[in-house]
Amino acid sequence: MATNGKTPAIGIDLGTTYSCVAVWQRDRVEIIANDQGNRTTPSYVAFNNTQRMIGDAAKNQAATNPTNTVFDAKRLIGRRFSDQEVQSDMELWPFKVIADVNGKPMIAVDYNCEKKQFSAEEISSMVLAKMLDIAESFLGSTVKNAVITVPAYFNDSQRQATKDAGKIAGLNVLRILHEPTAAAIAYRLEMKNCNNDRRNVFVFDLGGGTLDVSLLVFEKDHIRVKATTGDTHLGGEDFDNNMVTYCVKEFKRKNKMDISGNKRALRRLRTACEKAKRILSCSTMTTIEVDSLYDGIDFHSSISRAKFEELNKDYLNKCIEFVGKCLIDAKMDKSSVHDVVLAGGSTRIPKLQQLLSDFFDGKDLCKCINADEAVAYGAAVHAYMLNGESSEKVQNASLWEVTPLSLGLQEDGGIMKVIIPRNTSIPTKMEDVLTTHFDNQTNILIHVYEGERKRTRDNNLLGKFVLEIPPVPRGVPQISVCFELDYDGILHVSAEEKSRGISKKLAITNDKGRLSKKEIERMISEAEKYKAEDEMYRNKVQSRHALEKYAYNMRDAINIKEISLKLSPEDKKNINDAIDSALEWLEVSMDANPNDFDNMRSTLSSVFNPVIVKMIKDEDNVAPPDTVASSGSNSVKNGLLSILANFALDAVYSAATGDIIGFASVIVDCLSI
Amino acid sequence: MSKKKLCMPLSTLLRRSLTSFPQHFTSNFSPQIKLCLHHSSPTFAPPSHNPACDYYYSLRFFGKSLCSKSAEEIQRGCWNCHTVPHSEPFLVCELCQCIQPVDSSIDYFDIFGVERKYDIEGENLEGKYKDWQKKLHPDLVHSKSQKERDFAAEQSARVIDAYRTLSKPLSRGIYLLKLYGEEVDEEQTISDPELLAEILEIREAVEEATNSETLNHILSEMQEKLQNWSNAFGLSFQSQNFEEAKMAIRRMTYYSRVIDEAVKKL
Repeated sequence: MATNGKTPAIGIDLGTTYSCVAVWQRDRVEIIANDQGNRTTPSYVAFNNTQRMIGDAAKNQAATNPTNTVFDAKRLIGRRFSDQEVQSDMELWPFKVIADVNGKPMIAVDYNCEKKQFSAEEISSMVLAKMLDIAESFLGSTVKNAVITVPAYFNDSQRQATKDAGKIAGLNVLRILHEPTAAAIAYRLEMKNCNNDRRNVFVFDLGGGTLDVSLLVFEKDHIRVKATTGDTHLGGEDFDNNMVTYCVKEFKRKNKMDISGNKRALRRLRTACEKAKRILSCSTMTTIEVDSLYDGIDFHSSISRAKFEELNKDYLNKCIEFVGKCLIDAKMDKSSVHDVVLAGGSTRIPKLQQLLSDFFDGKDLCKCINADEAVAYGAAVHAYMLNGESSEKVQNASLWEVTPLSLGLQEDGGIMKVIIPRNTSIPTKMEDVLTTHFDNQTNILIHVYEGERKRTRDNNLLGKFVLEIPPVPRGVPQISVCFELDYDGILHVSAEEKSRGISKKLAITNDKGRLSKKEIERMISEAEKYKAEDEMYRNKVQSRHALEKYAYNMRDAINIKEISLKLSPEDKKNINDAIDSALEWLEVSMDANPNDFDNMRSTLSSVFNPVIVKMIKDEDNVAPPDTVASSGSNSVKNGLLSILANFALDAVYSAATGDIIGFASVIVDCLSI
Repeated sequence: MSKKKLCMPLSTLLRRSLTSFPQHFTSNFSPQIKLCLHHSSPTFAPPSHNPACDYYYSLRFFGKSLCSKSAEEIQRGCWNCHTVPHSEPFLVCELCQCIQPVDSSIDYFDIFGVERKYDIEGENLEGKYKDWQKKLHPDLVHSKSQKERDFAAEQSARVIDAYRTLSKPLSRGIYLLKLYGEEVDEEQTISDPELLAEILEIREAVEEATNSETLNHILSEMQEKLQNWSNAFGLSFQSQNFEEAKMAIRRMTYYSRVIDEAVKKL
């Protein structure tokens, strides 16, 4: 049901390294810049003794606070502590990751002088909440609905966890959208000849932490995914890691010192390597320089584009392997591909573009869409459509997605029995019938797995449940297991014993770290608590600033000639002493609360106001009784009030409420004479 | 005497019904003409079609109720606007475009408007599949009520499954047998020693193959055998020989799996 003044739905690209938010507005997509003016925001969250920081602020202080600056939550979300990827990443991360009782990875930080543990969902929800704030500031209204993008090759656990993160951030997640599909939507809008017939489009999406390759077919009124594959643990950060490793060796060779254990040094080195990588996309040579990297020694090294390519050739070639796999899955020859679209910041690497172009026999790659913003752009378009809006430009193309991974059951001997094969269109619903292998068996244990390996232990366990059945001879029971894959790519399983109508819905158990409803509710309330703490911190900073400005305004006021001449040296000294006292107090009262700042401002006011009131009153008393003199006195008084009013105006511009009240009280006191 | 009385009222009733039809048609026609005068839009449907359809359907409906008096059939119609459907199968209401709940009596062949038989290779399944998706896709109803969204998800999933099932000979065959109440036990142990030996030999050949030429050779052999057993299934199913049909399905299953493995190794 449509309502007037509907709030807009936003699209969020939640990236491993950078996130981006966009909205469809006035017949086009607006990429929304953050408070620093940047169109992408680092996916970083940092904690210290006084505050929590998200985005640019978090990343900017990473070198000085490495153990409490969290990033790469996307490489942790939906994974188990025991996963090989998690174990190898932990060696590179300066922050600490531990396992909870269920084997779920938790990030340990110091926050407000306490040890805290956060799940990847909570960290991601903080980034999402930041993107939401950015959008709400731009739009000037609250936003609830959002489309959040994920890699097409994310598994069920990763998708569900991402959806949970959105919920914790206070969002209504309209859709979990595949990143290459979002890029395809963006590309389709940019196409000049968009009224053409069927078009086969290959999307290559390489971001900071994930790779997705998808083959899509554009038709008049829909976009159909033929096949998708990728690696949820391959991206620009891996290139950075190789460069850092190279630099650590270089430093060791030159200075005989191993800095690999120094988190601060590594953080600064990583930042320099990332910067160098970007420069090498448009220059063939650059230098990596870090002042006083370790023990007072500077680091300086030249690196060429060829060297960068050599360091990363394994990763680059691995990317191209996935391209071949995708075409095989789609049963399409590469000569049938009309367009190759690049998305994700790492697709700017020249060698990668060359390898991709060579694979497609010299075809030109489509770079007309901004690689960093394409995903958020497409998500915004889809969010607009799902929000019930329509526009001639958006074309209202529906998306026909596929599941990237096979889903199935564990058979005897640990063999994977596929129920829903990969690249099946979604939503989909499929059944299989099981039976018992032993006489008088009273229950059946059902394990649900996801992946392409033949043996279940190499695949991803999604959940397990037990179905109670009456004891009968083996082979007699007919247990129907139904797999239902929703449009977000999340699986729902139910089972029913047909003859007696016994049925059970699978609530996939928490044995592998999926958040329960209670946990999500707790995290939502904790997120609100942290937001309130952020607000308190912001209020404290504003109060402090207001006091500081008030003190300087007072000093400026009494230094104005018209006022200065009328004040006695004693009064001037008293006011200046009060100001000095307040400013000195500010220096030593970093941790004061807002009330303390307000009290100090009242103290200043109590010194300042009587002097000014007395000054104005003296002007009245000095006036002789004749008309001319009386008029002159009034003129002087009005002039003084006018001067004071200017400071009030300054206070207005500074948007510090306390200032307004402070000066207003003086003026009110004078006018009441 | 009493029988005569029963006979006379029935005849009278029938005669009255017959005479009332033309009047009903006439009265229906006039309002449509008026509507036409008011609607200047060129997209307005020709008035002569709707009354005719309504008229004929009323006749058919009336006949049905006389014969079966089925309450369920009488109530059939769109859940939203209660329009009686004009065309089969009824997944979407043509008038208000609302998606209907899943009707399990509609089978996969009904969905695609094809005859219930094994050999449907010439039918344009893909085109019909796309036509349905354009009406049922969840993206199109995301801002509608939860009820309609659920209907869309279910109907869309069912059409996808129907397309997947009917587009491949093996799954189409299994589905046909199921419609005739014959369940194929895909996990039944192989009892034919000749078939077992053949399968083992082929699997060894696939595992030992070191080049694509050999694999392609095995692949074409397997595809030929699959086609032969597909033909055998068609014949035995047509003659209602379900036991032979099931055996053919099992053979097709094994060859299909070998083909999948060979393709993976390529």
